[in-house]
Amino acid sequence: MEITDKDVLKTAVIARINISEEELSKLTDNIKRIINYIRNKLDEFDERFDPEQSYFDKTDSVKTNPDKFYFKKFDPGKPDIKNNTEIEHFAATNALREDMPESHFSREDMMANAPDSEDGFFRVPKVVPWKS
Amino acid sequence: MDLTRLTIREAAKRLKNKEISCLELTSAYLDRIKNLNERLGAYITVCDKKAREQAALAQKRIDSGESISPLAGIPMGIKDNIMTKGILTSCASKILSNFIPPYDATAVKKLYDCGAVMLGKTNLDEFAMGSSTESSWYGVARNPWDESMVPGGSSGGSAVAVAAGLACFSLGTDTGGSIRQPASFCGVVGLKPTYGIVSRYGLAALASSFDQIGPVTRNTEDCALVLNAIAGHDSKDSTFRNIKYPDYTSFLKDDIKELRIGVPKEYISEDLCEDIKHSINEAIEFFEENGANVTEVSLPATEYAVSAYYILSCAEASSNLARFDGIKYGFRASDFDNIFDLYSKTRSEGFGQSVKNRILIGTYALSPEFQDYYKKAQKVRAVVCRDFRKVFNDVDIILGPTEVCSAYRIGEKKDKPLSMSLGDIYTVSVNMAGICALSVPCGKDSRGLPVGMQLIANHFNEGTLLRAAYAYEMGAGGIGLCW
Repeated sequence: MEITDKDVLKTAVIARINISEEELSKLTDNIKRIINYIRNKLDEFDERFDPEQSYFDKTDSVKTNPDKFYFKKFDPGKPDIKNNTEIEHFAATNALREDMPESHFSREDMMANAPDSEDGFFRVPKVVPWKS
Repeated sequence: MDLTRLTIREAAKRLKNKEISCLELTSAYLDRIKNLNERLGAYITVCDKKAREQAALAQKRIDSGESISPLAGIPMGIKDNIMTKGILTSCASKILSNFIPPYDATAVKKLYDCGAVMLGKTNLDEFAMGSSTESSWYGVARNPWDESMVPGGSSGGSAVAVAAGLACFSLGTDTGGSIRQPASFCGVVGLKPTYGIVSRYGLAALASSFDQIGPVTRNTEDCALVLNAIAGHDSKDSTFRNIKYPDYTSFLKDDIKELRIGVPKEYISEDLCEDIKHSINEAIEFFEENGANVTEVSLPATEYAVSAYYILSCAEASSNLARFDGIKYGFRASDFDNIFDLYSKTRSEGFGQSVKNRILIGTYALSPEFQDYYKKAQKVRAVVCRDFRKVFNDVDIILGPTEVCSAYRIGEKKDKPLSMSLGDIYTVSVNMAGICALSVPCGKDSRGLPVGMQLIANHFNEGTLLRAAYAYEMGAGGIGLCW
């Protein structure tokens, strides 16, 4: 499915970016060209690497042992890492620490970059519509 | 003697022996920046006063005779997407053109602790999105080997500063090749460390699962010295790896006997320029003649990596850049009707076109219409990782070109983001797999522009990269400086 001006406008609203009428068609063309290229490539990848066959490269003339190097099935949660201790280490841990209080930034430091502030608070336009 | 021509090791030796002072060294760099920066666009901000103060402090430490780092008194440039307390950190964007961070990035703090001297903040593509340093809000950076050429990007300013003698070393950041590619275009050494060994605390996030800070230096030895300073534990980055960090200079041995080198057949492709193919072949011959075992290997998913990278990195970027809304810091549009108008106008006026394009593509990539392709891109990433894992069972390092071509003309690819990104085909896979890679100069093309060779190693094997690159530098000789 080709990307249309409407898709781009919808995306722009979500991304909070304004697009003028003059720039819309050129922008859509640019994005379309990139997305189409990527789609074709990823479809080609799907044809070449079969998920049910352990992403075996079907065009590769030299067959390797899939049990040794490839996942049985695509599962990013359980990488087959037992042959490589470094990777095992890399994949296995998350760097956590005790949640201890430590030095923090002062209010003044934090507010110093604020475009608009009042009494130590960020000033913004009214967020909730007020009905009397 | 031109002090700006010294490497870190040479300068450190002269500082220690009191042949020169920290202030003399820093002044030499500041003078050169004054003369050349307007032309080359290497720095966005120059910290003249702070540099002199830090130089004086470093001198005191050297004079006191305390055991100090070889980086004490050494002048450096820091890419302008890395936080520096009290110094403008703009990400080369209008939206952060008034942002003064209240803290230092961990990598910067570690360098300060070593006594390194902050010369200034280097130019980049806006928010590190690009490969040519043409999208900076502060203007283009120029390649010192030929000023009509791009220096590469996104760490273009960092590479120009080191190549042109405007910094003894610099820090860059690499999300898809942003250290290695400009290093190759400017004839310097650039290292993208393993994901997780250099803290990302204080790095403005582009694509968090790919980003990594790394050194840009004149040679491999300097690279090891800077890596020693910035690698290691930081409780502020939950992705840091708790490994035993070695002294990286201990790997600088001129010995590559028995080193197993793989050359991926996919890297010596039709797209590769003849000049680069020639330089790479000569480098391969060098390694073979010196006792390394060079074999052909295969990374079959290589050609799909750029497409997958583009989707994943834009998706992460669109999410990361949602924080720039004109409320807590940075630029705010002046004329708005309500809060949503404030967000939209601030972002539309504050971001440059290439950043907006990537945010839009990333937002679209995360929409339900595109979710199948987002999943496919993640599968490509998994296969890329597996390809590397398989190859690293048989070889110690992978050798190939850093880029498909050497530097191109300023403006030549500015409006062709796809064509520019496809040049990164050899670099993006490394970020997808989180492994380490280094670009080292390996000759010049027929136009006299530097060519870079990329060496890739498995997670945490920076030492192997440094050893191979050092031996190559020793044997083949560098390409020299451009002035």
